[in-house]
Amino acid sequence: MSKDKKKFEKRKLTIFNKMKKMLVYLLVQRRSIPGAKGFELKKLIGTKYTFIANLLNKELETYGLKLKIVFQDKNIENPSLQDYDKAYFYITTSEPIIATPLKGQFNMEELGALAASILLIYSKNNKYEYENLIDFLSNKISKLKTRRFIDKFIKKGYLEIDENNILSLGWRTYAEIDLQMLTKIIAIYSV
Amino acid sequence: MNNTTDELEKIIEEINLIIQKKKDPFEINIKSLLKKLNELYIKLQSIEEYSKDAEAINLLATIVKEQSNYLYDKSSTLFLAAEKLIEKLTKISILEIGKIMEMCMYPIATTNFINNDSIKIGYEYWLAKSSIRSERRTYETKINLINKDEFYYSDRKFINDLKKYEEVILSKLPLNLTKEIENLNSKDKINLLYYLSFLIAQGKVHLVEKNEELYVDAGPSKFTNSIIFRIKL
Repeated sequence: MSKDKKKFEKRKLTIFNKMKKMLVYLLVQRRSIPGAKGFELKKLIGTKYTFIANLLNKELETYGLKLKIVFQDKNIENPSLQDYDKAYFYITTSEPIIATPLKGQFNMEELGALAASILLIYSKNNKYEYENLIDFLSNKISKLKTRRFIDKFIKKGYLEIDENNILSLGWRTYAEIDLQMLTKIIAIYSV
Repeated sequence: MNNTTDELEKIIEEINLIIQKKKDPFEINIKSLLKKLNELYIKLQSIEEYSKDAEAINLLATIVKEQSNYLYDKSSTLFLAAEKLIEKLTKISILEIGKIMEMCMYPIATTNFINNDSIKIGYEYWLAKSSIRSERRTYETKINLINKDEFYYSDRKFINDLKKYEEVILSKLPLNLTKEIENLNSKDKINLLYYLSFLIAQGKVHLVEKNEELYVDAGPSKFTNSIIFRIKL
């Protein structure tokens, strides 16, 4: 084996090991929030972690998964390396799990309430009062259930609440839900 | 460079500005620009001018495409008008919204597990952790230790009690301890033996065994080890 080929094989192995390391780090939950921040991956993998993340994403696609990056600035178009450092990296499914019989943590009623809550907060510029949301949802479900549902959404990270009882979208909403798609479907849905 | 080239470059620059800065594609007037290009077309002379004209038309086509996309997006989302959206939400049943939500949800893949190391760390922690009872006891002991007045009082009380027992025992010497204990209740038995042990340790009295009975006599003991009394309470 020539020297160049040996070098190439060694480099390939290093990249593969780094990909494995990143995958395990992203999959194993260490805190209440899964995934990892960019600077954590930088510390673990090295400065070229975005390149490794890209390769890992391609590999994950074959297994129906993808690497999702949620930037601090949600409307960012050309992220810089600093933006990547501050961003959150998650592994999500590449497609919604409609076909598979996995309802997950919510039943259909809860999912509906979650969608309505998210859309309402989203349409009100990401700020909506807790009591107003309860009033809105209680048109279709009981008040007792509504409170329980909203508390669950807050606990799971789909919604966030501040000291003034103002609700906003939580980290999990940005990580798991395609907001634009949801808005479009609701907008074109014929009643 | 003649006027035609200048004008063509101006048009190209104007269109590029809209595309690069991602401005509203309707800021540009396509009709007037096309009219202008049509007027310039007759004046074109060199290949360079023809290529610039083609570039301008190509860029205009891009703007038209952008306008089309913009319109499609806005019309499909009903301009994201909050009121329209909320109206829709009130009309659609909660289960239908749930089904729609399913189509837009990409759950995070994550795992929680315990490995051998974490079990080991946990077990070590458990072993090192003292029970709540003993923690409470230590706390109480600490309070007793730091309370100087109480400590002084208990110390003085002990000395007084010891003196009392010393006087009683010394007045009865040689004292038949076996018989003396038999007549006492359990509390007094313990107290007598407790204070006696201090008197022996101080060398004021000592124990002597005669005919399988224990006697207390004056003088220091030959034994330096601790004394163990076996008694029936």
